[in-house]
Amino acid sequence: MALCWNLVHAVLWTTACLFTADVRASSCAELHTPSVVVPFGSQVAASCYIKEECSLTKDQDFHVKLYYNNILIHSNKTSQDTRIYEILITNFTDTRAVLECHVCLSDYCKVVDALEIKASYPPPVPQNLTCILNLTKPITLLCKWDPGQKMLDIPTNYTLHIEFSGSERFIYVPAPGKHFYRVPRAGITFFNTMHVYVMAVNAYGNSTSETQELWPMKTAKLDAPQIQRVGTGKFGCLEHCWRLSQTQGWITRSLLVEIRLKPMDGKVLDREQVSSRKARPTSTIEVCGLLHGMIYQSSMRVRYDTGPWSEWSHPTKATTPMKAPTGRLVTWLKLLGPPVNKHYMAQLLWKPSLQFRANSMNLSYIVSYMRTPKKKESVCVTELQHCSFQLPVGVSKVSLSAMNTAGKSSSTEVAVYRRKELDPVRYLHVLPESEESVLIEWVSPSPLITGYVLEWKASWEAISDSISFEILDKNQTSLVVSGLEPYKPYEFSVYAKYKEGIGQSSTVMAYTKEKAPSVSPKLKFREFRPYIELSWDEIPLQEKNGFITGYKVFYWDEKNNTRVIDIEGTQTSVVLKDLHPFSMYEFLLMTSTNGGSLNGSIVTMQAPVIDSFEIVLFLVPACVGLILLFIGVFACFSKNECLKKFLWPMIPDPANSSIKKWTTTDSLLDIPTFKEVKEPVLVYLSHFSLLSSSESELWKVDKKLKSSKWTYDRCKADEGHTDSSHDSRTYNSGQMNESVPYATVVFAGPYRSQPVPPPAYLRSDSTQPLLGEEEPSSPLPFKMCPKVNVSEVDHFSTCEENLKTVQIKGSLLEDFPMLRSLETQN
Amino acid sequence: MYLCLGSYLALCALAASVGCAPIMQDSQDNAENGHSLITKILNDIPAAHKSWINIASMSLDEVDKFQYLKEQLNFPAAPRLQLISDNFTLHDCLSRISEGLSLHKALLKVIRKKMTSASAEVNELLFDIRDLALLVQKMRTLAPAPAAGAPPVRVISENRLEEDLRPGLSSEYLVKLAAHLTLLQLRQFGQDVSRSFQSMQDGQTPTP
Repeated sequence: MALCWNLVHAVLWTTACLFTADVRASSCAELHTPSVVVPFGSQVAASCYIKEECSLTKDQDFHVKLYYNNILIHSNKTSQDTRIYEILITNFTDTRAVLECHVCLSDYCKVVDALEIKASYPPPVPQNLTCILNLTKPITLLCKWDPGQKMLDIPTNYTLHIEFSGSERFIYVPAPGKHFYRVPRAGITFFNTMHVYVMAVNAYGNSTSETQELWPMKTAKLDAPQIQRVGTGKFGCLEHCWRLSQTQGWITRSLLVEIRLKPMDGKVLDREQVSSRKARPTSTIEVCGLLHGMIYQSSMRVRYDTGPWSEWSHPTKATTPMKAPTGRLVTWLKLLGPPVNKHYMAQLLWKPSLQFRANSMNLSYIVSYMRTPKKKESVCVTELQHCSFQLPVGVSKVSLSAMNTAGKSSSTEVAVYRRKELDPVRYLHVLPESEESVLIEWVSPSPLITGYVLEWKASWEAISDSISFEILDKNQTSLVVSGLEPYKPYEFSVYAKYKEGIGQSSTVMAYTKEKAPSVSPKLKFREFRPYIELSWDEIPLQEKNGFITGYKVFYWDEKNNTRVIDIEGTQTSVVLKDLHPFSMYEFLLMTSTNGGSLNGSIVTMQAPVIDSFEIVLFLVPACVGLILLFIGVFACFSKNECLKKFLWPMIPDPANSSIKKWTTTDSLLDIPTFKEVKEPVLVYLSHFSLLSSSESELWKVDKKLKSSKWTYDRCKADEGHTDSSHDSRTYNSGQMNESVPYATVVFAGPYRSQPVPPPAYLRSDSTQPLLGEEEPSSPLPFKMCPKVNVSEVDHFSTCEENLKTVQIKGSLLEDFPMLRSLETQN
Repeated sequence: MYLCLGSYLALCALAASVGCAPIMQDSQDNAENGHSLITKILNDIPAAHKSWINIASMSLDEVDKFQYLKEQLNFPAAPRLQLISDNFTLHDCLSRISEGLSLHKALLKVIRKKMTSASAEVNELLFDIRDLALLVQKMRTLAPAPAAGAPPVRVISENRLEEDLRPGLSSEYLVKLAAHLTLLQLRQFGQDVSRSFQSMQDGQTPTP
């Protein structure tokens, strides 16, 4: 069985050896590998077969050792044949290696076969080799390539090889690590085919890129050409004289030229055209098919064959020859309101029809009507596309024509439709289609409709300048209007046309698309203690960006207790009533449209309180007042008399009293000062102390008093009066020795229309002596001076001479017998 | 007069239906490219002259001033170009252009060796001449075959020319004079070549 296996294995091994290139012939052994050149880093298997006829091993006990670069590698016997020894080198990373097969008898070994294995690891093939010719001095050809995917970082050198015309060969070595090279002029030929390739070389081999066939001029990006002059010749044509840049002026051959002509009138920007042709530099290129009388901005670019385009030249402007305008205009005539003084106020709008050709940049329009069959009256000459004018009631047609310096177009006749109160279209609504277009739909109000006029304008612009219109036939009840701006308000009006005239308009406002407003209103505060009113201005129309659907006011205190108030979009103020005094609040206004919301800035505000200044303003006077009151009360209680004077002023009973003494302090306490009262006032006495006596005594006293002064008076001017000091002394002498009964009469004056109570008469049995004469230092007694001027009473102790004339009228004293008894004789 | 050129173009036009159209187009392109290159050479001559010659009397505007010294130097003359005719075919014309370019290229190289300083402008001029020579060579291969007995293109050997000129270039002045004469002659020759290419582009007779 073993013999059979050996036989099979030998056959297989022999077969394998037939297909392997490197089997070393040896009389004793055969060492082999699949290849003596193996990829760098690959796995290499090697085997050593000890031949049967090997003399070294015959009848000997031997073993085999395999060495890799003189390093012993453990080998295994194959299971099939005990004479085959195998090794496996998992990672062959040496440039070259020697494998040796040793047969060992005991410790004595002999090399029976050997072979050399080489590693192969050529660099990746350079890819994407491209070259671009630079015609700016110094002229160079920049060649770049991709080094390819490297498995190992093995140093690789590149060389750029250029050949042309079979004889010229150049090799350039780029700097290490660089994968490009600027080939100098020597290695460049302008109008011949060049063969270019890159060779990569490393320690394990080399590789070469695909050879590129270059026509260097086809890789050159020429400088932008220069338009020297643009001339006009034929109608609708412009002639361009051009050349290349000075450094490239030697290129006289035909180049591909592209001329871009851009009309400078914004209305015909779509008429920009690009003309391509082949032309030699310094030649003239004529471009036709242009609009008449139009300023064109010309620019051009060139390229050599299939090479890259140059940049566009600097633009040059030129105007094509002008012609008179042709074609008709589309019109829309509106009569604004009823006639006044037999004239309508009319507004005519127009726009060019598809066939209309302005044939010039500056176009003006003439609006006129036939007043009489022979008299044409011009009402407008304008460069705009609308005109407002007064139209006589009888005029049925208006004519419109366009005009430029080359001529005038044929007239467009406009019929005058009287505006009548005819039905407007129904259910007019606008549906946004895109950011710049809307669909307008409506329902016909009547089968008698002959057509419609759709009119729209930007709401934020001046009325007439932005009006656009479209004339529609009676079957068309919808239209997509495009060319609108998103987030801008537009007003759409539809007029129904009848045979009898123009019906009423239906108008609706719409946005193509809405978004949050651009700005948020600024919050304004106004205090209504204890409330706060928040208000804000409306957002300008241009910045609304949509219909304002509502506002939200957010506010929160220091504890983040947030409250929200929703407000309708039409309101611009709100009163907040639930604020805690002394609390700081933060307010935020959110403005919403259908397209979004915008928050304004947060504003901080304290809830209304009485501030410290106000506290001071109220409390300090209150405290001061209280203190003063307290002091006053205390003082009064401490001096009973003062209080008495204060609360019960002495008002004598003129009927039953005799005046002992009248002091100024007594009277002045209750009498407003004449400083304060400019006019004399009626004085109401509330307290009057009198000396009480019997009627007989009273008369005695009366007599006695008649012979003396009744008051102490120092008026020297009154010579009828004796010295008051003498009188006082007399009085005092009596007072010192006996008690005198006295009485008190209490009067009351009317107070606030309250009825006056009858005077109270109190007789006192007190034996307390009457008050003595005041101290000399006390203020002098004041003499009652009725009907005196303020200036007169200012002088405390003096009396004017006219006081002598004061008399108590007898009629008055009749009611007061006591006073009458007290009457003094002047 | 321009029968040869006409016949060349007519031949290509006739053969357009059988694939000669690209050839005709190539010839037209080559003539245009040739004209561009000779224009570049003519444009480069003043700069090259300025870089080499700093003697005021040697101006490119002076044409016949140094005729005597030119003869003394044994200065080789440029081949003369003629109107293309039966006797002077397109092939002859291209051969003469090739000879002239070869001559001036050799002259410039010989003189460059004698010059003390290198000139980038002259090098640029040499590369332009080389490119034009290569293009003319290609054009000759595309042109109708020369008639039997036509003289082959005379190749000017640089070594031979150097030997011929060496006795004359005994001083720096004479070297500069040789350079001046070379550039002057190259300009005149280039103008003839330009007219020839122009006629080839337009199908008109050149007016050398």
